[in-house]
Amino acid sequence: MSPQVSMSAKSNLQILSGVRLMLLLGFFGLLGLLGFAALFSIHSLRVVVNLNERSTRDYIARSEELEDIRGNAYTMSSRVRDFLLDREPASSERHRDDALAAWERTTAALAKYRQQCPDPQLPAFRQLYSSLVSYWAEVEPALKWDEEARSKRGYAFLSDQLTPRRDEFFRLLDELRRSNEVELRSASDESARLIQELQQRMSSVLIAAFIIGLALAAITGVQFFRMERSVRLRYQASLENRAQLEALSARLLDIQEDERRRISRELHDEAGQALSGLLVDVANASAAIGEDHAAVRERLESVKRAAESTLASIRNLSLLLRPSMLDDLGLIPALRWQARETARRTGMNVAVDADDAELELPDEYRTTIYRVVQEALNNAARHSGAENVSVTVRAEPARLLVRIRDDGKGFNPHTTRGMGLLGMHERIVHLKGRFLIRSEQGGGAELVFELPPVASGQAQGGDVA
Amino acid sequence: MKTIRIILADDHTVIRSGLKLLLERQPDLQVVGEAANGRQAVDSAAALEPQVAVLDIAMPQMNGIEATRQIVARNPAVSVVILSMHSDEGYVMRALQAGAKAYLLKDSAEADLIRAVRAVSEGKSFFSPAVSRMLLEDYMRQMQQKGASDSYELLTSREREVLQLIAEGKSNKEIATLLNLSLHTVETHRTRVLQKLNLHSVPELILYAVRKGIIS
Repeated sequence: MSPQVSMSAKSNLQILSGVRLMLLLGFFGLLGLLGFAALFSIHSLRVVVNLNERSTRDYIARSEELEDIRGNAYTMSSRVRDFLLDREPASSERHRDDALAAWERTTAALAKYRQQCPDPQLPAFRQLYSSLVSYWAEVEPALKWDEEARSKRGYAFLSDQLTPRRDEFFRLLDELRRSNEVELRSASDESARLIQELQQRMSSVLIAAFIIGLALAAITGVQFFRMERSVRLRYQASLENRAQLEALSARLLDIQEDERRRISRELHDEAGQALSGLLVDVANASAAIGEDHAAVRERLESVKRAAESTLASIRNLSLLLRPSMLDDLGLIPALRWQARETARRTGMNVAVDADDAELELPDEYRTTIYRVVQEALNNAARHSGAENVSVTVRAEPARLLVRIRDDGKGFNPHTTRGMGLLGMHERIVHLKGRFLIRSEQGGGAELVFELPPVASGQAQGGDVA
Repeated sequence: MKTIRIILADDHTVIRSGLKLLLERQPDLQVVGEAANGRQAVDSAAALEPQVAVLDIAMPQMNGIEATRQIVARNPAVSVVILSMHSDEGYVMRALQAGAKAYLLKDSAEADLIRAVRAVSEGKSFFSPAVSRMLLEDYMRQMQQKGASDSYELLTSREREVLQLIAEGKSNKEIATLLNLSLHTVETHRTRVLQKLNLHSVPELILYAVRKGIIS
């Protein structure tokens, strides 16, 4: 039984360490996965936000530049028209200067836009640029026209040459604006794509985490049930071992008691009787030789004394092993004898309070009660310093109650656990009885035990009774 | 001189033959039967009608105490002397309850047996000095420890006389004759003695008397 248990315990230990490693890895993996997912999503969101911010900022900046170009180009073309059509001589100078200034601002705005123009817009930008430059190339010589030339050719020049070109670059500007809008929309499409990608990754991470978590829970659960079962098995095994030990110790007590009884009887009946016979023979021999042989009589007298003292020792030894009263007279006379012996030996006053009416008890009960009382009296004599000890035996319908009480210095029953108390407890528990010690320092001690009532037919009285 | 007829029961042949030798040294004592166990003792007591039966306690088949009970029940005229290895009060009490008149320790049998046989044949009790001493010692210790005054002091001199005569084994009628009292008066004295001494039976009374040294 026990080697099996220890083997399975060892293999459990190995399984435990393997599984523990696996669980450890699993838990750290899960944590790592979730941490990575969190960092990754933070990063991705930041990328998306940056992208949005940048594309919006660029769009706004470019739109402003375009408006700048458009505004200046419009001013420029208006001033050129005014210059060509205005008949007020004083004003023409101012219109020309304004047109020049507006052109300069336009080229500056163009240069600025060029710097932040994205690659896809470059062809459209170049078209715009060349359209504006070619417009200006037409305008520049006309700005030197005098009033006459202007009034003569001005209108035709404006409507034939300049207005189509002007419409052209305004169309190109509109195109650029649209393309800017397209640019913005594609940036927002890009961020939408990034977010979708993030969603996909996150959901696969979550699925993986869920699977790992499920596996961890399953392993933990299986492990838990396995451990619970092994604990239960071990507990059962320990209960069985305990029961076996108890049975063994009860058996040992039985054997010891039988052996004591046998040796006690043997000593008493064989050795004792032989010595008694010897004493009678010596007395007869002594009488037979008459008064004449004084020396022989003296020898016989010494033989008699030796035989008497040996007989006394044998009787004491026999009673010490197992008092014959227990078998011959029953429990109560044996307890009374024990009380008298203890009183004789120790000077304590030992009173036995019991009903002398025959208490019919099986041998097991008699022996148990006798031995426990003997042990209690010995303890009281050895340790308590008591003056009075009382032993009470009550046979009630529902129980057999025995109480040993002394007025000694007492002890703490929770800390005192001698072999004596343990042995008493074991004997009583073996008969399915209950055992109780009440004592406190300085307050005497009381040892109470009760045994279940003896089933009728089970009892055997003493031999002599 | 009148011979005293004796039967002897002990399962040990050596002891039996030794005791027989011891008894038959006396001209007035005659061992008429021997038994090796209690049953044989009961049978030979019935068949031989001796005045005295000397019985060992520890015998196979039927022990000496049960044999005493049966012998006395059949023929109260037989006086039983118990031989025992035990000086304990429990055994003495049990022997007296069974109807024995004398209780001897085997160690001192060779010294006391003849006196015991003579005593019981005259209707008296007899106890080995060692037994009396032990009973007395226990009694004294109990008295001392309890601090109780001796209830013997409570008895009137007439009651003490009645106590001694009961302990010696006299019947109420014999006591009435001896003390020149009516039977009824003797019975009253007897009840009062038992009450005053807190005793419940004649064997207890005999033990008490032995303890007090009223009888030997």
